[in-house]
Amino acid sequence: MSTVELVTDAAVPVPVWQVEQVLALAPRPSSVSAAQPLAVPTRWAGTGCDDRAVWGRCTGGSAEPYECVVDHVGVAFRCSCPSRILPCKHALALLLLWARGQVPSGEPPGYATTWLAHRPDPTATAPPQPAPDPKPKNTATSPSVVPDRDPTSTRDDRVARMAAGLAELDRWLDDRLRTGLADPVLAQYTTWDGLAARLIDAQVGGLANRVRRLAGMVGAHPDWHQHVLAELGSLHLLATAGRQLGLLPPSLADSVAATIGWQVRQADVLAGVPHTDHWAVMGRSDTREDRIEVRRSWLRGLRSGEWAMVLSFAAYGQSLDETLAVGSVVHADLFRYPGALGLRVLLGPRHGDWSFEGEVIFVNDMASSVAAACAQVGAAIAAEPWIERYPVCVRAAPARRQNRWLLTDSTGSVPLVDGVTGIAALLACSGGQSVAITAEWTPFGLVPLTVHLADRVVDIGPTADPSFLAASA
Amino acid sequence: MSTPMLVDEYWNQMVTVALLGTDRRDPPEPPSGGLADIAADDPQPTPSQRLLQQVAATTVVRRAGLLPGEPIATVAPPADDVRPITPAAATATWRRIISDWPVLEDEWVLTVVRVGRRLAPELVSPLLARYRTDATRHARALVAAGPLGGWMIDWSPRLACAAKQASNTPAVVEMVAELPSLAIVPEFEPLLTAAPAEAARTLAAGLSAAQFGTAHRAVLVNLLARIAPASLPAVAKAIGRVDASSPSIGLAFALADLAQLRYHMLTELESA
Repeated sequence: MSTVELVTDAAVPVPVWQVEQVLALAPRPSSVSAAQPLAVPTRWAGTGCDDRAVWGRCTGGSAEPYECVVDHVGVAFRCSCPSRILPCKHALALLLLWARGQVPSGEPPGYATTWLAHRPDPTATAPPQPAPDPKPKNTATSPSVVPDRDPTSTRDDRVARMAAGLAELDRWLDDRLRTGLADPVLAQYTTWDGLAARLIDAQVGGLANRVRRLAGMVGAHPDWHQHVLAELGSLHLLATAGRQLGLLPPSLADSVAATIGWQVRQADVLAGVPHTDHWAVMGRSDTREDRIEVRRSWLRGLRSGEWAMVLSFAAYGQSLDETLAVGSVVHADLFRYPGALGLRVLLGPRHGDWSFEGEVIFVNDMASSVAAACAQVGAAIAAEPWIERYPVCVRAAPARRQNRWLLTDSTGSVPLVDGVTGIAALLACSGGQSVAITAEWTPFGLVPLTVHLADRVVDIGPTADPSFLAASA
Repeated sequence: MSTPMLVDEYWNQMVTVALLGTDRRDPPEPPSGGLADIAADDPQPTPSQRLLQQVAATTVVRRAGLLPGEPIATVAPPADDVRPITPAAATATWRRIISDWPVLEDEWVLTVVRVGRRLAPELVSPLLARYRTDATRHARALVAAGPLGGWMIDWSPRLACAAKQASNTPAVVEMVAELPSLAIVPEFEPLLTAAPAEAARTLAAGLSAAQFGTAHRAVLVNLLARIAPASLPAVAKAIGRVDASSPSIGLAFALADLAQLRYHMLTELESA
């Protein structure tokens, strides 16, 4: 079962985390491996959830089941198992069940209420605050995720942990540039994994994911040091901005907070004003990020021309969302996550589907020149300097220079990512001629996702390893 | 007056320092302009922190200032091929054949050629790659692909045939147009050309009576892959009605699916 971010017309009663958020809490990779077999309803009894917590009893090796409670607001865990590591595998498994919608709402049992009663109440009324500065928000309809100066200790504790984690990240980055990228310690996975684990403990899982991806770049190709250095710079930018959120413009602060790992409740996103349009599914890309497969579905409004990204996640043995077929058009409400670009969305109620009727009708107006696409990417990066992907639709032809494939037109050329899948299909579908192409910009070049032909739309984006996923229905 | 340092030159200098480490080499001074202003506005106390600040800023400048390279010459297109391409739905059918019933793939390719079509472009490289080690199938795919196939091989040599026997040998050329024969036991051979009703009745009766079990699966699959196409609708219908209590019900469902897919495959290509 995938973590499809779809909602019906009925309001979601309880804000639920996503699988990605749960896995980001794991203190080590083996925790996830240990949790997976427990993340089935048959291993649990008396599960339930409410606005504050998730609870259940897990049958373990001992005669008595383990009682497990997770405070998903204050992000705290309690389990009667002997493990000293939190979150333990039972807490992770319980959260995975909850993320998949397999935990019903209910009243907490005695062991849960007893533990919760000793925890700070995150919904307690705050003492009177001074009047806020009349700073206009860039998007009045988007919920801010910036941690306010909330006097409740749970929120302050979390903010303090994040600040400490960001400071430690900066010290680590400083050490790397002091000793040099040629230092053999960078080739050791434990160097990166240790930092990632500490970042997760500090509740900045978004940065932990970036650190893990960075580990894979070391020594990967002759120019690895350039890419690694650039990403170290991006991490420093995020670490610095993350400790000064209050000084940033609201939308930029929202972007920083979301990027470093401050979780946004789906219910808060869905409470915003929807963006209704006929959304063309322009492209799709699947990437493996640590232990989960991530699918990005890129949508573009036929009326607004705006881009939107729907994310789907799948852990091992799960399946990705297959409902957004490349080439289809969905008339739907989208709810944007807060941020300067606001790319990421939740898909709201749909009002009807149909397939593309061909390139001419829709894509002609959407495909830009190479130079214009570069300008679009530049503007997006200026708004959110740490983005790693951005969609473009260009009308260009594949060309080759110095053993590298590029897209070119009369306004210029831009390289494709070396060795990416889809280049052969792009070449075949274009026949060397100019065609409309949807691609993802990345710091390493463009990744072709879709070729829009006169009578068909050809999905050529990177696909998930089928052996990692469950068979789709 | 010295020439102002370009951002790219400055970046390359920072990469060198980053490789060595600021314990061994000081970071370069930023070029005049915005990067120097950042350094002046927020001075950093140590060389490593100065470098980190400038790396972060320069990364943003380089990425946000993304400019296209010079236009370059496009590749020469392949020769024209007047044959219409296979319909878009046929691409999905081929993928299903490869996934579920690869026994049909040879007939699919041959049917494309027989009805005067050529492969849709998105299928050219997957077929050539799939048949790299099979000279006959690779040659057959090249016929179906037309000039685009050879053109793709020119640009991506890994799509060329890697079989020991070259695809242009007389033996291979002779076999390209032939539908490969499949092993079918003598008792089933009459069903290949029997009237549709008789073929359907015989197969359905055998499955209902559990005369055909998993041991017969391979032969029955071969039979349905070569039975007269006119029999396929009747066979699929009859097999699909096999009693659910029959021990061979699972085999019946699978064979019905094969018959339906083959019929769909043929009509899709022939009627498009």
